Amino acid sequence: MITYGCIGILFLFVLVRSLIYRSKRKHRLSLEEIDRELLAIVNEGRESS
Amino acid sequence: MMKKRTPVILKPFKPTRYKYEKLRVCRNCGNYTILWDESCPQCGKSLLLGIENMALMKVKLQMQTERLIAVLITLAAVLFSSTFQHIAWSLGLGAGGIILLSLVQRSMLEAQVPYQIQKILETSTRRLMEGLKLNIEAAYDMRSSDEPLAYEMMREIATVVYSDRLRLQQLKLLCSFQLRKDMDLQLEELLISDFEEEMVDYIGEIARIKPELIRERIILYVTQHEPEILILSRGQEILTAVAGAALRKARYVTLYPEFMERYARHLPKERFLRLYHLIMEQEELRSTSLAKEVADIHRNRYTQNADISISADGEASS
Repeated sequence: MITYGCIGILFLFVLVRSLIYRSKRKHRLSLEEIDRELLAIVNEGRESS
Repeated sequence: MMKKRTPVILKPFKPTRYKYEKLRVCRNCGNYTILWDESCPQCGKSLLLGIENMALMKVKLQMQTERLIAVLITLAAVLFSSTFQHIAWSLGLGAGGIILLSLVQRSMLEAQVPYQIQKILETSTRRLMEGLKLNIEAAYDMRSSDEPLAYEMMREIATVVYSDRLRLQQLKLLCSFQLRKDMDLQLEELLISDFEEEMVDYIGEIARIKPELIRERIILYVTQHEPEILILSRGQEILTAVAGAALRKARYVTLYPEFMERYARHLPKERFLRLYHLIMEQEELRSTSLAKEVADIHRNRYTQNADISISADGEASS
């Protein structure tokens, strides 16, 4: 019985990970957004142009 | 403001598609650097890695951990199996699950990297700021021993650090160099918000050697600070040079006719004739006071060479 439980957990784990990966790919973060975030982090509170 | 300028050789700036690509992180101490050092400025070890590679490495490690978890669950299933048939089923289904997970991971690897870069930036803001601070200090210290290198370091740091103080330091160094047309020079990137003599001096040099860098923001800067610039000993000369450089595009003449009008009289012959012909080509400019001023100057100075003139009321005639 525990064996079935383990196999069930395994497939649930694979399913959950796949869904997480898929959702991240669907709302793909652009590299321009990362650039903007980096500049915002570095220049926070600093005068910029 | 005439200073003795030293001849220098500046390495060309290597731009990257994205600014974050300039950042590298030490795998040993986690320090960040934007400079091109072989070894980490903090711990001295040659373990610097581009932030993208670092993110890829972390994603692969995370995926590896997930596969390990799947293997452990499979082993647990095998361990709790009471019959050979159960063991075979556990191994078969476990292997299937692991293969499925690996395939999903492989197809999603590329899409995970930007998220990982974001995570790295968000979780190591303090280290990033400390690393950049170290870079800035290193560049400032370099000024006393190697000014061109100090400028190159500051130029690199300024890719992500937008600071007027840093720009002013770069301008001070640039104003001490003998600038040449073949140099990889920047202008808009160095534009500071307030009036600074070094900024104006540099604009004047650029207008002379690389007029193609005089763009709208620069013209706007000089027009905003015109009274202060005129107080400088070379103020009028610089403003005339900017007006001359701005003549490359008819759009700038249309946008800033008053500025052009104020310096048209001081333009060298070739630049003045360019302005004259631009006004002739632009119908909307022919009735402006700039056209009248240009017509007056043209009549007084160059009439014997011209076959076209502009009448006082702005009408063009042959």
